[in-house]
Amino acid sequence: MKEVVIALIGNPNTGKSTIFNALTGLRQHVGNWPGVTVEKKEGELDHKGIKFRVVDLPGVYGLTAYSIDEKIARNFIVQEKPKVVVDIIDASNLERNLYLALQLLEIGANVVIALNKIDIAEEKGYNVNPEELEELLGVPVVPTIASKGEGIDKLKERIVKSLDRKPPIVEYPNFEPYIKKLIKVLEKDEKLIRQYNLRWLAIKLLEEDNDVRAIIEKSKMRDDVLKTLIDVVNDLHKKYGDIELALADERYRIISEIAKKAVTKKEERITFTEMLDEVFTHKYLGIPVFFSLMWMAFKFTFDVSAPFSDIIDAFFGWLGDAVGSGIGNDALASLLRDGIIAGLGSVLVFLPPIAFLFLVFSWLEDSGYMARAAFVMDRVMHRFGLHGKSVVPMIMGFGCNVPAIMATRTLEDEKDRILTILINPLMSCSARLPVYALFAGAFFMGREGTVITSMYILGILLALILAWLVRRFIFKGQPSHFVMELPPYNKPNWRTIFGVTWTRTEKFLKKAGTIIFATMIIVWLLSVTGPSGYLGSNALESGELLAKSWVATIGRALEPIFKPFGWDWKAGVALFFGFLAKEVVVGTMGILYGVGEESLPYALASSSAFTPVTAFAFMAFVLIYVPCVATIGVIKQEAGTKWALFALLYELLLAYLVALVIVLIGGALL
Amino acid sequence: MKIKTVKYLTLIFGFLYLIYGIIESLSYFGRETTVIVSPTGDLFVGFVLLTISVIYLTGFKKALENDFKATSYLYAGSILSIGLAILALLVIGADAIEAYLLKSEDFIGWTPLDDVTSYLVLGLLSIFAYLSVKDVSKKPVKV
Repeated sequence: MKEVVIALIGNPNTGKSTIFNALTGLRQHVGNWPGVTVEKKEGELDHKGIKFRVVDLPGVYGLTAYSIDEKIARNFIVQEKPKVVVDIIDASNLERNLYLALQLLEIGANVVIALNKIDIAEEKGYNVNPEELEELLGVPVVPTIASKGEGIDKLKERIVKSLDRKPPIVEYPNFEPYIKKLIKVLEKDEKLIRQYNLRWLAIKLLEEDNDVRAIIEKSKMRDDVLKTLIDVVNDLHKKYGDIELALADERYRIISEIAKKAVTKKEERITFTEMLDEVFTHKYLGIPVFFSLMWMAFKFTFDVSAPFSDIIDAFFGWLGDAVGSGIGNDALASLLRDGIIAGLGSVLVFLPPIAFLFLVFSWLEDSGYMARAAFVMDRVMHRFGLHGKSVVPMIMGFGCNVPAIMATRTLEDEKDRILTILINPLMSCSARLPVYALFAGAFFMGREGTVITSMYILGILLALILAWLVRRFIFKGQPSHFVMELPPYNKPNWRTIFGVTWTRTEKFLKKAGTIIFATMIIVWLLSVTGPSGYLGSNALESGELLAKSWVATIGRALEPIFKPFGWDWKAGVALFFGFLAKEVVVGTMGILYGVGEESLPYALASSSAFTPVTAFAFMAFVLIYVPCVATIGVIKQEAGTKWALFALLYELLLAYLVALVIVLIGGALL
Repeated sequence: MKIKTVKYLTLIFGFLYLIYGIIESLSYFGRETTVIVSPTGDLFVGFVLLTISVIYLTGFKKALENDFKATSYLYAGSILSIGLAILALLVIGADAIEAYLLKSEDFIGWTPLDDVTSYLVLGLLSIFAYLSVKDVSKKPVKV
């Protein structure tokens, strides 16, 4: 079956991803566009015996090629020539969205319009007439409500019917003579005729587009085209001044005429989005609402996921016993039971809270609240010398610092970007959650939610203080302001939410199966062996034997460093291996205390190694000191070795200092 | 919907949340007061309840000024309140699994009544506030 390529395009927040998911289902592949780190999503669709390859282009407002996203979208349409380009238009914001539609028609794309969010348009009091719009634009228009799956079948039908349709031409009356003059010269080059839409080339030449200029430079008609262009541009300059601006005005004039005919306003109404934004983005209420929602998110994460963790816990307990009793060889049985099963079990027991955290964050993102969180927190960020755009990577950091640091690429200013990178490790990623959950459960029973939330708040406060200090002493000056669009609130699209949750949870599972798995085996090996050789599996149950192991040797070497906090050598070993990945801290403790996941909180609480104060200091230390090897690696990649070393040093020093302050103040108070 | 209704609802819920917000906050510092339900002793519960109270009371202030935006505060306040109640119900569900299915030691003798919190009761009551405002987009408030 021959594959037909179609592309999806649209302004940001028009529901493009939802339509992409609805068209392709689970048959999707995610990669990068060549040469850049912008995500490229492709999917498959079979309809009426035709196999389609659906390419999801980046969300853009226009095709001027000013940004990397616009460049990618434009190059794909111009060079790959998809058979159909589905332009997803937000019906509640028609005029702004039609600008992109006109630019697509200029290129000569075979456009099908998905008129999405018609429910929101109606809620706002607008009545958009799709038939009228179809007639005025000359392209098929399909009304959809992607969040409810409405109109998707009709959209597929119209895509199939449009495959061999000839795209209409948009005429700009004030520029037509000039465009035609240029086309006349351009059409003398057959290569240009074969590869491009000549009308589009002419329009872009008038707009002084660099990429199109480069195409002409290679044309055999180069001299003639440029000569004609100079004449035309001189004429137009005299008439309109800035030609690019005049062309934009011409487009908006046409759009305004179309909108006047296709849209009727019923009455002035207050929408649910406006009502919620009145409160959620309120100058004073916005921040308490943000913290309230964060607390609710964490309460959901820990309390609701608890029984699922217990089920995993019980399973690994049973598996360890079954495997251990069935194998005669002591070393092999211990490796499987105490190393692999106990180690992995103590990490996988945190799979439910991590998955629940991702679920609630995906829901907040999908609902549109996260954009409000960024908006609300921007006011605070700015006071601490951070750019508004820093908020998004910071919020992402609660999931994982690695993609969060990569997301700082959206910051144009280098100083703003490096500053955002440096503070990101202080955003408490999901890998630190198992440590908090373990210690909060062991030492702060009944108040786990509050104690864990306080860790997140501590991280945010330290990040803000550090940002303020770096801005004051290293990157002097003020961050620039930023503009962002707040999408309307959406009803949850569970398919998208669960999809995102699974993608993120899968990463944790992969990590558990690789780095954590390997580290657990190393920790076990170093625990059951020592300078005198193999100590036997009893080493994990006997403190006397364990004290002769390699792991105790490492722990004792580290012990003086952690002595001021009152932590024993086992804590030092856990932190040492936690450098690889924070989840390892819990697994290592499980092995060192020689107990399963279920008993670990009790073992910790009953040991004299920690008091509530020193446990809180340990949690703070885990929050602040190096997140993981991968994070340092990505800081090096994004900001260079100098800043990676700076991050490493400041995190270790700050962790030590904060833990010491907690122990001293806590010790004095309690 | 009349602005008078908004006025009464925001005032009633504003005060209810204020009272329970104070009770929850005080209980964290050891001063436990039981009014119908026992406080959780969680400072953040107090913070969230006080935040919702301020939202309702800001709506009340706007309603006194005959500002139609008062409905926004009633709507947002009721959404947050119901969200909290749903959270409380999910926690009851999770604890029920622990108690009845997994028979966890920590949940011996547990009954659903043990998890009835102030924010569950107030959230369920807030359904009335939500129902009064849920169609405001179709039927604008009369000032």
